[in-house]
Amino acid sequence: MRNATRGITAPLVNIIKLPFKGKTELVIFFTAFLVEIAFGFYLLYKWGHTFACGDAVSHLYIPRTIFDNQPFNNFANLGTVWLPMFHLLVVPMILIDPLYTTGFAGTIINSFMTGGICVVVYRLIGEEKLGILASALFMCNAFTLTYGATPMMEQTAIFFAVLATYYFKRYWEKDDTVEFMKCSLALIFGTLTRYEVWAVAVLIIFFFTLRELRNGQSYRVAYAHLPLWGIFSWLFWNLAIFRDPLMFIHHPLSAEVGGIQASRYFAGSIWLTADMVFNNVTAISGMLCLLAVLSTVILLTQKKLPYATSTMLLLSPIFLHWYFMFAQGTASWMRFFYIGFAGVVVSSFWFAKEFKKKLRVMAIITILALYLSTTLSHPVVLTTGIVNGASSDINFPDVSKLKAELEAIREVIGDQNPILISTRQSGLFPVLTGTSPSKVIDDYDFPAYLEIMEEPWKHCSFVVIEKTSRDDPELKSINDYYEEKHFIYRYYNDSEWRSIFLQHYELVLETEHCLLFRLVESPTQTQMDQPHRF
Amino acid sequence: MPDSSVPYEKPSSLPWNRGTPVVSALVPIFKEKGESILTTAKCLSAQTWWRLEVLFIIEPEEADLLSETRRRLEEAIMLLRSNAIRAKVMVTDGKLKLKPHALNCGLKEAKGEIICVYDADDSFPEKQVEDAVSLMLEKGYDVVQPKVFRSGKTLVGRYISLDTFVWQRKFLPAARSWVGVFPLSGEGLYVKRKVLEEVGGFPEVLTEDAYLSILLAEKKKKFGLLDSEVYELAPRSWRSHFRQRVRWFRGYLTCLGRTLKAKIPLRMKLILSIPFLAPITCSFALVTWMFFATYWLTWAFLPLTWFTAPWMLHWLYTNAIFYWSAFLAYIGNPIVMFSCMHSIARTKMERNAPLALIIPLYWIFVGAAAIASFFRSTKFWGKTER
Repeated sequence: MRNATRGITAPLVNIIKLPFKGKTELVIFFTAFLVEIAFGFYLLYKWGHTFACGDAVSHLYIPRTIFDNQPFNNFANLGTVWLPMFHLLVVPMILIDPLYTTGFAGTIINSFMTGGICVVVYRLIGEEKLGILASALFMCNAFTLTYGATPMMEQTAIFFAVLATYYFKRYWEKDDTVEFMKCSLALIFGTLTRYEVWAVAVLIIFFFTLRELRNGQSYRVAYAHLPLWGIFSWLFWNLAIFRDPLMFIHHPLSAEVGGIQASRYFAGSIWLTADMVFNNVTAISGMLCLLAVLSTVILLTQKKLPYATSTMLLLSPIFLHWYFMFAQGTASWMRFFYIGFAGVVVSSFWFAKEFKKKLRVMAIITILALYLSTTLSHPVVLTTGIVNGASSDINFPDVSKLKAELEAIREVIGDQNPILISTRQSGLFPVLTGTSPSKVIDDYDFPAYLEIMEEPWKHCSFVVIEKTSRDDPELKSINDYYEEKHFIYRYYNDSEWRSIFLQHYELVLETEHCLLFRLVESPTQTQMDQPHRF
Repeated sequence: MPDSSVPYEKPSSLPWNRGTPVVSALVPIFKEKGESILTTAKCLSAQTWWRLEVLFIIEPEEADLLSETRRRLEEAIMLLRSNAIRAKVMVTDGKLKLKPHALNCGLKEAKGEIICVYDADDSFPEKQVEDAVSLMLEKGYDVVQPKVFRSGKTLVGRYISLDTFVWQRKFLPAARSWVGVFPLSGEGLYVKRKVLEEVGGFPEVLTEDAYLSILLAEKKKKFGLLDSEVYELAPRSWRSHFRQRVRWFRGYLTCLGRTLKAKIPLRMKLILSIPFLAPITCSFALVTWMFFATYWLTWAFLPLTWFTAPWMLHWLYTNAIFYWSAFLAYIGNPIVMFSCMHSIARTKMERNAPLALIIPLYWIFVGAAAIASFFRSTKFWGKTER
């Protein structure tokens, strides 16, 4: 019996051990993983879900529509605005209803990512004690805990970015193209997770090409395109599905992030943008960011190029968003700067690594002091579920409130379907109320969505209209995208259509954000086309 | 299960205490250039293994003592004899113009306990025979194969060089590690005579080497990979390479049929089937590429989706061909390119990395050869011009 058990467990243990180089890494990984899982349970206990914001809900809805969105369940639902990697990773989890409706599916994936980041940070530091300290510091950050336990894409992107940086550093130190290929693989996944990693990929190609040309190995430049494969495949995807390789930029919801939210107040002002960046970064990492910059400068002046380039790569998301704020006046969420947090930690500990004995202890004390300088308020974030004083969209109570509101709508609707719902509410309603996406008509039911929006009374028993103003610019751009047929835009701006609509529907519920309309008589038939081929 | 970390092996000791078997080197000659014959003869004459006999096997039409081939052969024999190596020329019965038939004729005359096969134009190090024999005796292998590289300075030569490099560095070690067998190559092949006789000599098919591996696998023989190289000149032109590919693919189809019928474990069957399926996968790839090109032209690049051919609505296309093509385009091509670049990384072949960028185009060429292979005769020894 004992032999049989050993026969099963021994290969399993070997598989688990495979990605790790020793016991310390294994312990670091499982500690980080279990802490995140435990924090996820805490969020479940406190808020009833692990969704930090509305976007987190959408990140579970999108993968679900691939399988559960009759008759339009297909891979094209991966869409165009958000990159697909996180959605693909979470697919096996969202098929289990309790994991899907509570957001725990994302918690599991991101817990793995947090474990992975801590291990790679440990490896990057290159010394056992310092490495453990660095990964513990990263792990104990309130934003690490939050983004590692919620279905957001940041944690996954950070993992691939630090992994790519680790392999890039190894490539530089060993002059080994196989390491560069591993780095490229990590970048392929990373560039399909978040757009910030695109900047990391471009920088890596730049450093790689420069180094190889300087070393007189120009033939090696043939390897330089590998990190771009993820980006190429995304452009191809956009071309194949939407007939526009840059659809992820041209989509109205992308315009929402890049244009409508943009505040011209920041544009062109180095001081205002610097102040904004500084506020966000210090809210995450305390004054440690200053040490990180200092460390990078020292590494550069000492010509420790593998280290200097690595810190530049890891910190690049911060500078990228700074650039966007400066050039376009785009308002950036705090989580965008959080992507550079691993870089702040790693470069600070590389600074400490420069010293020996007592001086090193002093350096570590300095790191902790700088880190704690402004992060003492972090426990408040964990207990209230809200971040104050910085541009953060973490708001667990808000999602809970929205959930209650949508559940009230669901109670009125009962099991009747289908329900027509607006683009901005799509995802929230099905996930938070546990309704199958097949029962909801939204922009994931393209192209039938266009036809149904024109005459919803022929197809839908209920229509949810969100409360907004008639001159909402985002609504206008969404309407333009949907060939001027968007029902919410028409409700507020097309009086003729609105009067016909009101002849067919009666208002049955008004909540803080929505109006729920019920069809006066049953729809005669549903006229849905077959899914479009891609 | 052989050690996966060291697929290519070198003998650790000399085999004196295990005996000194006679090795018969069979060198089939058909329409070869004089210098090609001498290249192989020089390498054989330089061998450190002294219990060696060399048999050059020629076709009846080249048996004329005044012919260029015959004169060069006499020169080669003189060279070998001057190094105390027994050598002779023998003529086949001419019943079948296939390399394995020539080898079987040679086998009848050969006296060695170990048979090795080389082609004209092969170059190899002076210790290759000694190492191969030592490895066979030390590890008890029934058949041993060194790395075979085909190289050339032309574009086609460099592509073949890249192709064989990936084959030797990736597939063969992996196959040997997973299932203990791998498709054999006709150059530098070492096999025990009694093992060969057990399977009835060299199988008289187009790719006798690959076919032989199935027969030996059925008999549960031990395969080894020798850490030594045989260099062969790559085909002279794209046309010549096309002919060579067609011949290989036609032979692979025969091997595929035999593999499916073979009484070997399923895992072994699957691994051996991978290369033997190449004519089908490559030709199918080319056909589906055409479908996919049509798709891109009609859906993605034209301003309106005005063109939908009837076959594009057929269930076979929408449910199978489309996804197969998409898989090849988006997953297959990157895997081929990545695997190729990974194989050459850290090696001297890294200089060929720029070529790997357009390797999908090379595979379109291979796909065309795969289609042509379905129409090729199995009864003719197609000579590759080098």
